Amino acid sequence: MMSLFINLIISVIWMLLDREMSVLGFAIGYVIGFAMIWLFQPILQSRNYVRRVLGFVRFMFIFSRSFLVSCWSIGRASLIGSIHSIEPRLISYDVRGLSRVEMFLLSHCISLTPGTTTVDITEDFSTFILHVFDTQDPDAVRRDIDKTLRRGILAFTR
Amino acid sequence: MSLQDFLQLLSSVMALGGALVMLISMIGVARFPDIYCRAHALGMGMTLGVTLLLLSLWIALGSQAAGLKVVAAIFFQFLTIPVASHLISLAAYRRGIRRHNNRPLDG
Repeated sequence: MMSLFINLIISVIWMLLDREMSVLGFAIGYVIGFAMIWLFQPILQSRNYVRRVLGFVRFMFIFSRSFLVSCWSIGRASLIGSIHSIEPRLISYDVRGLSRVEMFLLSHCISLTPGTTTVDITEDFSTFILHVFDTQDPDAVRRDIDKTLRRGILAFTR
Repeated sequence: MSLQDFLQLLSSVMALGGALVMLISMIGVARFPDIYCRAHALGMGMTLGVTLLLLSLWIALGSQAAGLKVVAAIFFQFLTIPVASHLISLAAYRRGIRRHNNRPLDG
């Protein structure tokens, strides 16, 4: 928390000292501030903050990649190929052990990725019901969500 | 080719790309067999297409004039579109609307 505060202060100061105030200036200031906090990790005791920010950035990259890949497959399915050859399924996905915020983030990211949508959650908040656009193997979809979204979200929420 | 020309070209390409993505997603909405699959196609077209169009607008206006408005617009797109597609699917699921090939849960 303290590290985030320091980082924001550094970026605001950088933005104010720049020739003209701009969003880009703020972004550059944030990166420079983060580099400084990363360098002075042992003094500031900011290991946790650095780990979370890096986890968040890595998650953004992984998510963008899987987003574009699934956009490509949906686009291809809508242009070429018979619609009767696709196999949409409802599958369950276990979310026990996640906090409510993590569940919210996970379901949001699942819906945001084309090809999978969160349809429902059971009454006891233990299982998501997902709709998958086209899959032969439900387990492969679960593994994929585990590997990209779940691990990525847990990297910066915990 | 100056930077100005390059930015203009980039902005045009992104606007065309966004329009193309939306066209493809609308073809998908017309072709796909049931409401869930249509929600997938619609979600894709809205997120990727609108984002590309807004980014092209951002480049065309320059970050000085547009500021954070375009970023805020993209942020709210990404915040609201998944909620809409989730609600459409939830409503269809609760009403028990027919699905393509009607496989049971996990079947």
